[in-house]
Amino acid sequence: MDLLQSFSVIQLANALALSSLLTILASGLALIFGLRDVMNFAHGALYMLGAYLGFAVAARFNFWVALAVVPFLLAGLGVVFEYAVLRPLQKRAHMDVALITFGIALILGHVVNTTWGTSPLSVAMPPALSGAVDLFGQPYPAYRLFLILVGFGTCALLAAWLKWTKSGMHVRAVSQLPMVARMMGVNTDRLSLFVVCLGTGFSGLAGVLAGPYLSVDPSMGANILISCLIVVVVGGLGSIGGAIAASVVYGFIQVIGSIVSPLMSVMTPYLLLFFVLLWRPQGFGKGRVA
Amino acid sequence: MLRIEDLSVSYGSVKALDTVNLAVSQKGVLHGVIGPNGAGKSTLMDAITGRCKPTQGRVLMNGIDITSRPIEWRRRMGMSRSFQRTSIFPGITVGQQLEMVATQLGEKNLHSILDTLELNEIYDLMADSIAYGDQRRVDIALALVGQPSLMLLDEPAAGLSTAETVKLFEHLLAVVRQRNVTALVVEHDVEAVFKFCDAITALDLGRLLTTGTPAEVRVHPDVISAYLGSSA
Amino acid sequence: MMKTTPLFSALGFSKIFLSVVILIIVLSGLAIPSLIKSTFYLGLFINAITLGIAALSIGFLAHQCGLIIFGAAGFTGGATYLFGIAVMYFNWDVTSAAVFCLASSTLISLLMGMVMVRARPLPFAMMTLALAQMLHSVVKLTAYREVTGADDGLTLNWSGNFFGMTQAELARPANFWTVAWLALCGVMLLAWWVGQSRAGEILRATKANEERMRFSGFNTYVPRVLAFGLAGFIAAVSGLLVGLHSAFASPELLDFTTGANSLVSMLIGGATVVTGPILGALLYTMGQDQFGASGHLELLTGVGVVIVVVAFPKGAIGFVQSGIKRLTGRHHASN
Repeated sequence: MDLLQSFSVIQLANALALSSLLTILASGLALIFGLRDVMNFAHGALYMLGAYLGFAVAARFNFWVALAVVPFLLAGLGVVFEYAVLRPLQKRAHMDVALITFGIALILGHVVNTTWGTSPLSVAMPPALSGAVDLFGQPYPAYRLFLILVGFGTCALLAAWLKWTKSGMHVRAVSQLPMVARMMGVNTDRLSLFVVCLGTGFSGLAGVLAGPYLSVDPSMGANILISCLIVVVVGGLGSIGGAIAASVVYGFIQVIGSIVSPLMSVMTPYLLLFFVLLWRPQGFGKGRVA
Repeated sequence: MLRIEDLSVSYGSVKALDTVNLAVSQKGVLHGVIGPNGAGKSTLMDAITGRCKPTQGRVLMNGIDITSRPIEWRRRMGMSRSFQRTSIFPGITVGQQLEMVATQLGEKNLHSILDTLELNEIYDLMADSIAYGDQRRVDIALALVGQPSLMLLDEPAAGLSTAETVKLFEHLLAVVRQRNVTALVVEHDVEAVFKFCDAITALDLGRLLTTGTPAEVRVHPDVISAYLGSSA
Repeated sequence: MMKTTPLFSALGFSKIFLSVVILIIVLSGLAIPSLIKSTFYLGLFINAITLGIAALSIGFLAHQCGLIIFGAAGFTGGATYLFGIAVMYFNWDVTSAAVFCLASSTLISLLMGMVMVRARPLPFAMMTLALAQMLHSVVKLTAYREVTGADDGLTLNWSGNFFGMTQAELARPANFWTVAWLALCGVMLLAWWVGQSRAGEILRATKANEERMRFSGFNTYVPRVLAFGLAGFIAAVSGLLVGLHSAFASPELLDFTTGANSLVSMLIGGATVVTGPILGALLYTMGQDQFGASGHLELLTGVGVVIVVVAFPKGAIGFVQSGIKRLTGRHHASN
């Protein structure tokens, strides 16, 4: 009975820890897609950049400074992204913009490689969180609990913002009926900028948080991109709630699958992606930015 | 031939079409569909051709329910349509396009289509280099290949001048009479529709106002208020 | 390239003329090793060939169907692994393994195509990327170490001769050139022939307006499945060449960036004519040689993608073609 309990609780926590990172990333990607109609293939690279910057800042100062600063640095990059890429190319075909974000992913990958090299780096865990916490009688890494709290907390805040604030409502309106929203006086340009910066900022946040948890290496961008795409698509393009739910499901599949059947844990997400893209393109969520 | 029963198409809470009923039973008639912006004309067209799925109601062709059937069914039942944009295949001549479709559908009478629509002069020209008005005629010609019994034309005169529109409708009427094919035409140019069509259906805000001869429709009170009420 | 311009067809003996020209080009190509003695440069050009064939696969599908394969690495790398598994796990001789590689890759592509060609371009691109990543993860699973070599990759050893060459001979650029060159000519001719055939016309017309094609009585599904199968075959040729020459199958072959290389080559060279992706691959490989040493390859790749998509949606060759069109005022039937 004790063994079973430890199995399920620890595994549950692990799944949630993994999901929390994905949740932050997927929400950002879903926002950008919902509002700008752009599938941002550079999202994984932004996350990687965030992780490496987090490493650099944490090495100089400490983890907490990195956590505070890096998301804003990435948000600043988001400004560049919006003005230099998304606005000028608004009228181009979706595939063209997608290709360009793909190219940006490669450029960012290069920047990371030349600046920090190609061997994996480890980010020191902040001392306050490096211990273990008692979780239902079992010791559990404190950092992971922190991760879960921050990850889901951020999304809860995001959901609350979308639902109850005026600007949040505007975001939802613009993503569903851009013309109407514009006619009603919503400043869609400023809103777009804000949402893109939010999305890139979130990538930065996820990257910094990932540092002590996963290793920081040049392939982390590509790996998480696919997971992110899958989560956003399965959850319903543009749907935040869907993205959150899908991340949780994904986390569970990974953790439980790796015990039961490694092959299934690898393949299930892709099978889900295929299924959704082909038979239920709107995903399982409730529609755009909902 | 074509019957539309209680057709409704809703997008969320917006009703693009609301319980529309329409019947086109004769061969060789030109049947116009008019209405102000947002009346649901294009939605009606899309529901008939299968581009969108109605939330309620049925589309029947020769008595057979084709509402959810794929394009291949509709074509086999004798339906064809024109296209507003990207209508012409790029990179090949007018003649090559018509021949390509004619071969596929086993059309043996291509030259009569060419004659009726006066396409012989532009037969060897590149399809994407001809004048816009000519492109529209090629568009209609492509829809005529294969002996359809019902042709659906969605704003065939879009972007044409008044004179060109008249010319196009003259061609359409010739096609309809000579080949005994019925054409259901959505058109913005109300004058042309009233002048050339045998029957007219008027829509407004997704609802059917009336169907009848031009003379009847012209004096129908709902039609008048719809057109005077909006600035169409 | 072999454009059927009105001028040529008017001459009437175009077909014979064309065949002779092609034959001369193919045969001259075989003489390259005697002209270029440097093993390094021969190796470089061989890399350009395998990259070019992969780029051609992407370009073919993009031009004929409007679908872009983001994860070409799944097709090329997958083929290399299939070859490797046949040789190491099934212990087949090289020729049987090669046939198996090409046949199974094509079959798998056809099956995948049946499911995937119905998708819109963006979901399609995502699925190809996901596919490559999935294969990458599966191959690295330690549970399959025996079959795939997992993280370390698979060193290949085989028996028998391929095109009369032993494994050791195939590893030498001067010898392998013949195989690579003939393979290149073969797939280029194949892609060109399909492109300018009626099937190609139907594909491109479907790309322009699928609904119209269906209303005109054409089956728009089967041709595209077949096109996807052909693209898979061409990509498999590239993967097979890599396996034969390097005798090694590594997870890097299934990497994100490997697929990106061929995609970029296609974008640079353009997909409208068959020589485009090949030229793009050549430019890319030369650029790799110039910049690779200083470690700026990914930068080149990324910047290349952005510039090309923004400024030259039709790639280098498309740009040149439009230039020619403007100068001569002529319209060519693109194939």
